Amino acid sequence: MKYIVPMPSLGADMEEGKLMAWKIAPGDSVKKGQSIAVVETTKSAVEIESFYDGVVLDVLGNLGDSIHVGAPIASFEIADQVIPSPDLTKRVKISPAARKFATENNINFENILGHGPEGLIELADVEHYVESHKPEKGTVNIRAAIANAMTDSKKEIPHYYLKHTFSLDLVMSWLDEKNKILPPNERLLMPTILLKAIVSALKDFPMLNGYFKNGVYTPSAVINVGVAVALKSGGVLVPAILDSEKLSLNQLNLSFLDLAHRVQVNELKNRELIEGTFTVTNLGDSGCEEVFGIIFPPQVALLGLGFIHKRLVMINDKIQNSWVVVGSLSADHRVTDGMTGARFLRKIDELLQKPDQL
Amino acid sequence: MKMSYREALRWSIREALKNDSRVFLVGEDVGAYGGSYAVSKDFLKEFGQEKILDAPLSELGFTGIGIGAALGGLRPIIEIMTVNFSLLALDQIINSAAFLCHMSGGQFSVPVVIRMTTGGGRQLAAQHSNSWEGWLAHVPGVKILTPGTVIDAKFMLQYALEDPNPVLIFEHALLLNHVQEIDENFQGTSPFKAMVLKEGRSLTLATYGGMLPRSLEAVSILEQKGKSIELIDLRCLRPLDEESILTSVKKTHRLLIVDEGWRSGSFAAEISARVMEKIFYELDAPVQRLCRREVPIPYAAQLERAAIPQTDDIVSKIQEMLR
Repeated sequence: MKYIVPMPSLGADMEEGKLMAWKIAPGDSVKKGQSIAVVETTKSAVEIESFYDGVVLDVLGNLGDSIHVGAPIASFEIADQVIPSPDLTKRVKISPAARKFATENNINFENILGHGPEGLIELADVEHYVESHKPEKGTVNIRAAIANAMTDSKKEIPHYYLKHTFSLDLVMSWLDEKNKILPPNERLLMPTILLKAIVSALKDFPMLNGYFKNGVYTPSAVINVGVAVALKSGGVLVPAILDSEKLSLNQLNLSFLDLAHRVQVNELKNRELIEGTFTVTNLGDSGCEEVFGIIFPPQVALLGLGFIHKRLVMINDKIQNSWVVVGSLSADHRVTDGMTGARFLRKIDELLQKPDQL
Repeated sequence: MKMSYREALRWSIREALKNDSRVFLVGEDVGAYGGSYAVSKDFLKEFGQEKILDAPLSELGFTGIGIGAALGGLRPIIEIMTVNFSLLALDQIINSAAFLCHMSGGQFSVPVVIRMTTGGGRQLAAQHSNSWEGWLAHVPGVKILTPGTVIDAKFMLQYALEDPNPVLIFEHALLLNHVQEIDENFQGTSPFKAMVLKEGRSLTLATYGGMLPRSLEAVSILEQKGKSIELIDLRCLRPLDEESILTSVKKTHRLLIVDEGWRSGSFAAEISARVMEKIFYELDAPVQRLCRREVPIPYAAQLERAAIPQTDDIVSKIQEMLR
C-alpha cells in the first residue's frame, strides 16, 4: 500500500520545518528507523526517521522548502496492514468520578486495577490506590517538595521582578551559519545560547549567584545553573549543570541535552539536585510570553524566559521585524536591589549581541 | 397517632371545605356514593349539594366546570376518579388550565386542584392501571404532586389550594390503606421540595408515590446486609427539585430511579439526563432505571406483578449496581 510520509511535529510550537537534505531517493529501500531527511526547525536541525520498512516512491517538496507539520513530504510503498489501527479494546475503562479524582490527584490511572464490571476502574479503586501509594517517610514526594519550597519562598523572600526584552536577530543568524557546518547531532540549540549568555553574565554578578541561609548571604564560588524541567510524570525538577562557568558553548550544549534526558529517565545525581546556585526556567516551548518566577530557596535569583518570537521594534528610527525573547528576573530584595538586577539583564543582552564571543 | 393515607386525604379535603368558603368538590360519585375510594364519604350530608357536586360521566365537561369556577374566583377541587380517565379531560387540563395564564398574558390564573388516583397493582388490567403523572409532568404550567406518605396525603392539598396555578395531585390507589404513625402537631412542609427519607452513602434511590413504600422496604433489607442506601422521595415531579438529587448523588456517586411509568420517555429518563448533564463527573456507575415493563398492564396477577417493579426487583437491581 502507498503511505504518505507527513512532516513530523518536532515540538509543541513547531508549525513548519525546512527541508535541508534528503537521505533517500525514489527507488531506495527504506528500513524502519532509517534517517530519511534533515529538517530544520526554529530550534535546531533534526534528522527524521522512517516509521516503516518500504520502498521510496517519490520525494515531494524541494530542498529549502518550508513545509507545514502534517503536510506530505514523501511517499513510500509499504506492506499492507503495517500501520496499526488504534486498538479500541485497549481503552481504559474508568468511571467519570474515578477519572475526576485521579486527575485531581495527578494519578496516571492506566496502571490501576479496576474491580468494576469488565475491569472498570471505580472511585474506590483510585482511592485505594492513593491510600496504598502514599509516600513512605524518608522518600521524596515531588509535589509535596515543590509545595514546601514554594510556600517558604513566597512567605519569606521579598521578591522584586524586572523584565528585559532581548533582541535575538544577531544570535539567530549566527546560529544558522554555525549550524550549517555542524553535523546534526552537534548542532547548537537556542536554549543553550541563552543559557551560555546567562552563565557568562552571572560571573560579574556574584550577588545573584549563591545562597541566603539563616539571615546571611554567601556568594558561590562556582556557577551551578539550575534548569527547570517539567517531568512527564508531573511536577518539575531543577537539576543543575555543575560548574557551568567552565564549560564551552559546545560542552554546555551537550551537558544540557544530557541533563534533559537523565531527568526523564530518573538518573540524576544527588549533587545536581541540591547544589544549584541560580535557576533558569524556560517556558518558551509552551508559548507563554514571560515568566513571573518564584525563587528556589536558598537561592536568591531566578531568570524566566518566554517564547522566542518575531516582533516589530524600532531600531535606529526604523520599524524592523525582529526576533526577541522576554527575560524576566525574580530576585531577593534582601540581597540585591533593582539596580543590580537591571544591570545583570543588560549584561545578558550585551552578550547576546556578540554571539561569536560566547 | 396512627392514620391511614385515605383518612389523611379525607381530613385534608374536609379541612379545606370547612375553612374556605370558596372551596368545593366536584367529580363522579363524590356525593351520594361517597367517592369511589370512600374518600368523601358523608361529605354530602355534612356540606350539602352546593359544595359536593356529583358530576355526569364527562371528564372533559366537569373539569371545564372546575376551571371556569376557578377563573370566577372559587377554589374547586376536581376529582377525576382515576388517572386513566384524565385522558378524556386532557384538553381542559392542558389547553385551558395549564396554558391560560400564559395565553392571557398573565391576566388570568387558574387556581384549580385536580386530584386523581393513579397506578397499578390491583388487577384492574390495562385500562385502569396507568401512571400518567410523569407524562403530565412534561407540560409547563402545571405542578405535579405525588404524595407517597400519609403526612403528604394529609398536607399537600392545602399547599395546592394556596397555589394560584393548577396543581395536579396523584394519589396512589395501593397506598389508601397504608397506615403510618404521624406527629399530630406537625403542620406540613412545602410539597415542592424533595425529601431525603433515609440517609446513606453508597447509592441514591430516587422514587415517588406508589413505589415509595416498597423502596423503603428494599432499603431496609439491604441495610441488614450492610448496604448504605440514601432514599429520596421526589414528592413533586414538576417543578422538580433537582438540587436535592444532585446533592445526594454527589455524595453517593450512584443513582437508581424507580418509576412506575414505562421506561421509554419516562420521568426517570428525565432525571437520568439531568444528572448526566449537570454532574457527569460525579458518577461512579451508569445511572439505572427501574420502570414498568413496556406492555399494557396485564390482568393476570402474576403477570401484573412481573410488569411493575417490586421490592425484590429493587433489591436485586441495587445489589447488581453495588455488587
